[in-house]
Amino acid sequence: MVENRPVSTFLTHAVLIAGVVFLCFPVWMALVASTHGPEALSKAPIPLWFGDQGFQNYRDLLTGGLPEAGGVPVGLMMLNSLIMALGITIGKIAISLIAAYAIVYFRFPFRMGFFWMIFITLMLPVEVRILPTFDVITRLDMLNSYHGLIVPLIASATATFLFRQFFLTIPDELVEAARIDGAGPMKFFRDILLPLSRTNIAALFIILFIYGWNQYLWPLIVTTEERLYTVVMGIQRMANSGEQLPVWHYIMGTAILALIPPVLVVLAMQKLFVKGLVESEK
Amino acid sequence: MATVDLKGLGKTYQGGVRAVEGVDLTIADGEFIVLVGPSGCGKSTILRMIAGLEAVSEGEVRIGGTAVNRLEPGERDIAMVFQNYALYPHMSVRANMSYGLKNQKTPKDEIARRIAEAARILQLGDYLDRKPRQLSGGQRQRVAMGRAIVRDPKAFLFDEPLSNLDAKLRAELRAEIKALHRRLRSTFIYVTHDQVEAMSLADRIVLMNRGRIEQIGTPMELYDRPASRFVAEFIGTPPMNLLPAESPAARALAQGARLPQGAAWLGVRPEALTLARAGLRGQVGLIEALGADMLVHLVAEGHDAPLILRLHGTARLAEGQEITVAPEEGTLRAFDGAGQALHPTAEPVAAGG
Repeated sequence: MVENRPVSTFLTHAVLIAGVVFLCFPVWMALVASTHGPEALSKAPIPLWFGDQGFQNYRDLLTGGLPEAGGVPVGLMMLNSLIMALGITIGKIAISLIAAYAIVYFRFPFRMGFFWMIFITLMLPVEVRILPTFDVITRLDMLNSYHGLIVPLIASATATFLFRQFFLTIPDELVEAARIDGAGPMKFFRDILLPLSRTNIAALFIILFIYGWNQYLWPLIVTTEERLYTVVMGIQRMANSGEQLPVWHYIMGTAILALIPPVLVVLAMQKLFVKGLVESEK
Repeated sequence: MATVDLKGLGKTYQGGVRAVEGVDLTIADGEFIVLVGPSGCGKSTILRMIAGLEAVSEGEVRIGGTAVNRLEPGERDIAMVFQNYALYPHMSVRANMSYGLKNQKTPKDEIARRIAEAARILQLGDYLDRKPRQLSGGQRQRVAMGRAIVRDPKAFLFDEPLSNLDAKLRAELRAEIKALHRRLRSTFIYVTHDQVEAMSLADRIVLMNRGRIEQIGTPMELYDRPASRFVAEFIGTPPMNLLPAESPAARALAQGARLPQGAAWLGVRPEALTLARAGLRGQVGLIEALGADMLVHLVAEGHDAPLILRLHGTARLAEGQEITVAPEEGTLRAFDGAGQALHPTAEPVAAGG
């Protein structure tokens, strides 16, 4: 299959390098732009190498309240985003694990009915149910709060489905061996099911964290106070600052900062994820 | 260590399928019982009902004299070894063995002592800190047996434990299980579809057919005096030769001996047929040389299916050769039209007398 000829090696590398450049160029541009003053980016030619304002720009972003972003420092926005993303991720994983456990291992009336109900909610993302959800949150007096940001996004049919499929692949004999070893339902869940699901949890953590971090519409609707703004909202606000020129150097700086936590999560979880893949049996 | 009693045990699955019915069985303390039968005969279901993994539809399971129908598997004080090992993949060998004891709140030093003992018996000492995936199939099954031993249960249950292993390992582990039983003198209940395992391991075999017990007895009883055609055909490879009692071939084999009243089938074991002067004439068909002995397919006059003979490996025969065979004395068995053995307990039908 793999041909070892210089020409084809050269070609494959050329194509790959082109792809990498294509993907990385915008990030590079953002990084470069965040180190220049406001004027440099408004006139041609756009700089392709770092300027001398980098340190200054990032200090402004992290500590100072920028009027363009509603006077909140980006540091606070990132903290808000982090709380929301972690809340959504951990909440989703916890709830879907328990739901999948119930559906796979317990016999109760309308078991399959409940499964299909959960499954059908796959077709109802936040955007579709946004009005009724907003109504519920308003009545529960959860506007402008962290739980208002997190709770409505916690239910997850995808994760439940994924865990269900995984639990179904665990051999019945393992469950039976645990029963003979005197492990009750809680013990079985804690001692056997959770450790076995580690890989899946890591994979889901990556996906769900990025999902939570990138939430835009729901935080926009449910928060009106600046102290709860998330970083994605902040970028958007800065870019649409009405009559004034957009402050590109700050916007790009915020974008770069907003990239960091998801990248860190991917890097941290990837190790576990790959380890789990290698360790998993057969 | 305890007795296990099954009284009128039955299992009906949802949808009315009767997997097991009317099973009465008393297993003595320290006995090695093998449940054997074709797939779908209900042998595994019985084992699972003893273990408590399957609800009992009717009848009663008693372990050590106490009815356990309503007890959870973990409360029955039994241990089970599964076909696909069922080891906890994320736990080390040591953790696998200690898990059940921890759940019983056994003191730490007692756990350590029992694991050391089990590891010594099963030669697992070097593997205690490995994960199951780093072990071979035979080692995994040893760990599963170790997990059972450390529990020091009233009864050991084995559900086709050797079926996933290759032939050589199977023979090795079979010997180990037998040795283990000698050493522990505990009650062993063992399910298999392999009659060789059943014959070589059991104190008593319980042969199952379609959810019912066909025959209970020592391996040699089942082999020598099968209670029915089913037993005769199931036990022994190759199985017992069966001929319609009225056929000329059967008459030639019986050599004028009087068959019992109502005999419809005549059976004879392959090794009971020997070359003789008078008896059944036939032509040698296929010859399967197995080394120590050879299986000879004999195409007899007046009988469609070939009879199988087990002759000594040094016998000189060629395909197409005409030979005459006769059963050794006392080896003919007769069965009635329903397949039940005639004279199941009395003396076997005598040939030539």
